[in-house]
Amino acid sequence: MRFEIYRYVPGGGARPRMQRYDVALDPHDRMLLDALERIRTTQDDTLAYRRSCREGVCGSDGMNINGRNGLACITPLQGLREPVTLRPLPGFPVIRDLVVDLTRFFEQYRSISPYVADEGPFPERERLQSPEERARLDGLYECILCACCSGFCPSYWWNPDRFLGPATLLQALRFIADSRDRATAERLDYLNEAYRLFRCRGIMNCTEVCPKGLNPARAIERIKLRMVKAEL
Amino acid sequence: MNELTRRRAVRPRFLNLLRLRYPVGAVCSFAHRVSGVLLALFAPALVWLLRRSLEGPSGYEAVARVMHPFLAKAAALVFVWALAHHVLAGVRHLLKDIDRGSSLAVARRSAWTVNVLGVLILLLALGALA
Amino acid sequence: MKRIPSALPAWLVQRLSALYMLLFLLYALGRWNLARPDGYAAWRAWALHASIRLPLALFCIALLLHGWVGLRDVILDYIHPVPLRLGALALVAAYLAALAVAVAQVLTG
Repeated sequence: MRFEIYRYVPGGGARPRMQRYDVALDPHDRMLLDALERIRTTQDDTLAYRRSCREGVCGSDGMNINGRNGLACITPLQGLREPVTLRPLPGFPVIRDLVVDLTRFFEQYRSISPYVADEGPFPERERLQSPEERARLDGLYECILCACCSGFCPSYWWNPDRFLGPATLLQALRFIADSRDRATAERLDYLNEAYRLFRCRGIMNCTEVCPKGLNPARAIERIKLRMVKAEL
Repeated sequence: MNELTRRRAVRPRFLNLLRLRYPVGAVCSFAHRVSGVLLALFAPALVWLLRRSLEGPSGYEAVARVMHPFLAKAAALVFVWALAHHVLAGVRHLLKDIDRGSSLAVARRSAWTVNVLGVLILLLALGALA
Repeated sequence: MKRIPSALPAWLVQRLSALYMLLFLLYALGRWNLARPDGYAAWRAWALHASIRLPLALFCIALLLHGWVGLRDVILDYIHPVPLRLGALALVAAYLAALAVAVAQVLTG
């Protein structure tokens, strides 16, 4: 199988280039990540990419696959057009090859206080949720922060340091929607700013590429509706 | 500057827009933006047409005549497409705002519908003006 | 929630103006189909009739507001150096203001 892979090794005035690999795959190689491992072990051990769980849970191997972002470990090789073209997630600074710098991405995640906020008084026992309250977190808590969505969002490409991006905004709703959280007003206040939330144009590229089938675009619309309700 | 900050400063970014594959919704959205800017550019011409046409019989005739030449017709067609697409894509947005058609499957279908209807209305206008 | 004009209010103005313009276009289209004015006198009577003059004036206001929010979004997305951005915003503001004056002259004249 033929691959074209973005290569960039820092130092010495190096520039990014595309490198071709022709790989003989093993019958057991079923996912794109298997092919990358095959390339690395049989042809080129300088090729860099992130990986960990190899089953779509850790969110390490997000990359641009034939023009769309996705996780290599859960992208079947079958059906991929050749040459399979792999590039790093668009818009992020490239550390090396397919490895991007997600420092800012995680700083933004931290900025929305990604934990249930409750200053007390604390209950004697655990905080119970009704099944309905728990159901409001469905479609939000599953996010693995792989950055596939933010890396495919034009608004995030243009304003990566001021717009929070779809992944962080979906996470923001996850805590706004939590019945145990007491900081909804502060959370909405933080997002009610010209850039953080309101650069979203509802393009829905995020939803198109989410490997977990989540809908960040809808989460952003729901935050706006919450804001309108808070104003009324 | 230490080694790490120096390296960070020169890190490349991959953002070649021609190397990406766009979903239909992105096309719809991009066209919404383009048509919006076009409509803003058309606005002075529209105000001028309205003004001339209401000035008096001669102005009205002048407007009727202006609509005749090829260039004016072409401009009118661009305007019709921009207006049609912008309004339809706008309705799609308004519905999504109130959580109607926000699921991916429906949003894809509505994006196709908007894109196709915009061109269809353009073709209708082409037929009417020809 | 604190009021920040460039955040939620701008978004609401964009949405509400869009909704109004949509309704106006449907109304104007329906009214046009009823009357189909032919010739100057009929056209003038149609365009300046009380039943459309005020809605048309509101439409123009909605259009200007909608245009401001939309064009500002375009500038915030693509133009990043602060002086250039301020220049572009000023240019758009001047453009829309000139348009507003011209529209006001037509509608009151």
